[in-house]
Amino acid sequence: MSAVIWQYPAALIAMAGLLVPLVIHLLDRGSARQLDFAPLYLLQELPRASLRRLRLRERLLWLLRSLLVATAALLLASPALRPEPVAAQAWLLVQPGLAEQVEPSLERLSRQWGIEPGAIEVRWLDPELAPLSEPARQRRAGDLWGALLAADTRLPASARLAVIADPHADDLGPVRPRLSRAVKWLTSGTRSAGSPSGENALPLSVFVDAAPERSSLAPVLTAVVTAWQQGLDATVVMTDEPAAADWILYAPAADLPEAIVAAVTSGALLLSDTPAGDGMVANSRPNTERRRLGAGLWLHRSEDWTALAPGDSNFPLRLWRELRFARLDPLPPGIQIEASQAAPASGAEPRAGPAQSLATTLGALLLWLLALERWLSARFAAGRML
Amino acid sequence: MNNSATSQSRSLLEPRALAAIRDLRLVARRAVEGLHAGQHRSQVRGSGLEFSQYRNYTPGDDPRRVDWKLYARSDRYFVREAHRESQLELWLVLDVTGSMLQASDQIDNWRRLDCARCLAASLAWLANEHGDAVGLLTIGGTNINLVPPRAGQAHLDRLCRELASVEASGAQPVAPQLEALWNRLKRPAMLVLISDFLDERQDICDMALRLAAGGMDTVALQLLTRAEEEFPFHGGLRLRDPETGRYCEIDADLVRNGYRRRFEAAQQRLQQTLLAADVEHHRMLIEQPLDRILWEFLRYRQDKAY
Repeated sequence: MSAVIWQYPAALIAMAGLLVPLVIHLLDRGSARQLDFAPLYLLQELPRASLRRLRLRERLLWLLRSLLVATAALLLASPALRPEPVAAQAWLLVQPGLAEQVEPSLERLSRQWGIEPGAIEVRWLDPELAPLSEPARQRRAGDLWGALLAADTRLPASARLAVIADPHADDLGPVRPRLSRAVKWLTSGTRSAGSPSGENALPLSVFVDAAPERSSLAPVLTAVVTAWQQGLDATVVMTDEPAAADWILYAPAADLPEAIVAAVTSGALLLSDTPAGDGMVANSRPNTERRRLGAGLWLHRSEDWTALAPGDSNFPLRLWRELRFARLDPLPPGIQIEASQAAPASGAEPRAGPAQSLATTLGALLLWLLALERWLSARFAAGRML
Repeated sequence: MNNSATSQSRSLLEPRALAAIRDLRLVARRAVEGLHAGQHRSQVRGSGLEFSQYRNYTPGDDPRRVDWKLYARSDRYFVREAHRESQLELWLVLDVTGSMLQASDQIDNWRRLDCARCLAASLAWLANEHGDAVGLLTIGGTNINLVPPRAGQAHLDRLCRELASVEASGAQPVAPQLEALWNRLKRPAMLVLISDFLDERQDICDMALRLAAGGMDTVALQLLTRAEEEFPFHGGLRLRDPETGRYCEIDADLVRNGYRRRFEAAQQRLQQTLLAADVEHHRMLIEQPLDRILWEFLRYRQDKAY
């Protein structure tokens, strides 16, 4: 179902041009319909067309010419097709791969919204809003928000919307999408970046290399990890091998050893209080800098960690917050995004969905009609019938 | 009178415009103005203005024609002879069947009959100018009208009135109705037959052949319309035969080529038939200017005469 919109509706006045072929048709008919002709006997036995067929032919030409004018007028008005909003008032959109969460969510929604589960329209959250009975389009990285914005334009303005989604780290751009309505954001909890949805029990290995004078950092990091663990299903394992570590805490003032650089390059997060030199980018937080290193990330804290009291419970909280809200790219292993935090904002102006212009189709139709009309009238003028 | 005034008065006196005001005398005078090519000289000598010869008086000659001055000089009776200005009898035979009502598709209110009227009136005027006797015969439908040949201004007026009042209708009368006419047309005369020669049975053509065979100097003036020659129509048409009232529904584009072929073939047959019977044939379009039609016709006569 689609609605036609007109970009220049005033051009539809050109439809008055339909009168031209009509008037020509009627005048033509009136003037030459009956004539006196003395040498009529010379026309006997010549092939004659029945008047019915002749009229049919004239009407066909008239119809073609009217269509030509109408098509030209339509072309001037620049019509476009916009998908019609589907009438249902309650929607549940499911990100592909999360179909198993539909049943429990439906029950919950029907209770919360006070409507029958059957009244809730369940579709895949893909650009075409395909029904669940059809296979969803393969999800591409980054198209969650695109699909959600498109869905927002296609749903009726008053429709309620719930979404079962599992925002991947890839989906999280610097700007959260803003929809025209409030979204009930149904998620199965939190997801850790890099881990497939549903399998979030990866152990997080941590390597700490602290100079003897900074050995107090070890308990700090342990405190951070512990703080994290509150919202994370992952188990934290301390490791002695930098190459096996997801996180590396490196405190010595000396240059980074090769092994640690290699581990960060392959995707680990390095926390250090040593500046990483050129290429550091200031974070939004005043005392943190970051630098990409291969697939991994090097975070530099200008704060002197050694000055922290071993039992300072504020530091892990601060670091945790910094990492949580820093929109790090790439997201370090173990950094969690709460799905609820990824929920799109509401309050945007309702937008019209993308409209597909019909200019090409109409132009092609116009040319085709013109060719047909020329061909037929040349054929008729040459005395041949259809 | 200066030139512009002359051209203005000439345009006002266009034959077609004059025909519209139905003053055929004026039309005729205008159309034949400046045309002297049709002047013919009778070979019969008699009384008249222009001197030809003297001959000896023989008993029975009118004493008034004796040249008394010559008698005074020569003491002999001579009779003065002059070219008689005319002995020609001209019959104008006008076809007034329904097909003569065919209107031109190019000129408003101009029918074949209008053209024929003007042409007949012009020829009558011309003949009268030369003192020839002119008779008029209109044949069409049940209406056969005959005005015996006579010369003189009063007669010309009568002819013009007759021509102005004649209307065309119906088909060509069948042969028995015309039998009585042939007796009236027995004396050798010049006969101009004005028609479209477009009937299926070729009655008019037969009439021309019969008149020619009877010793008449017969001229066939065939008046056609441009539409009849070119068939310029398009699309569906309902055509009516003005003589029979029959209808025919055609697709003009479909029949055009066939019609043109048949029309030309029919014209060629007609021309050959007329030529074989020594009937002079002139084919003209009513859309042509009237004076041009007349001029072409008369020039041909003049060329033939010399």
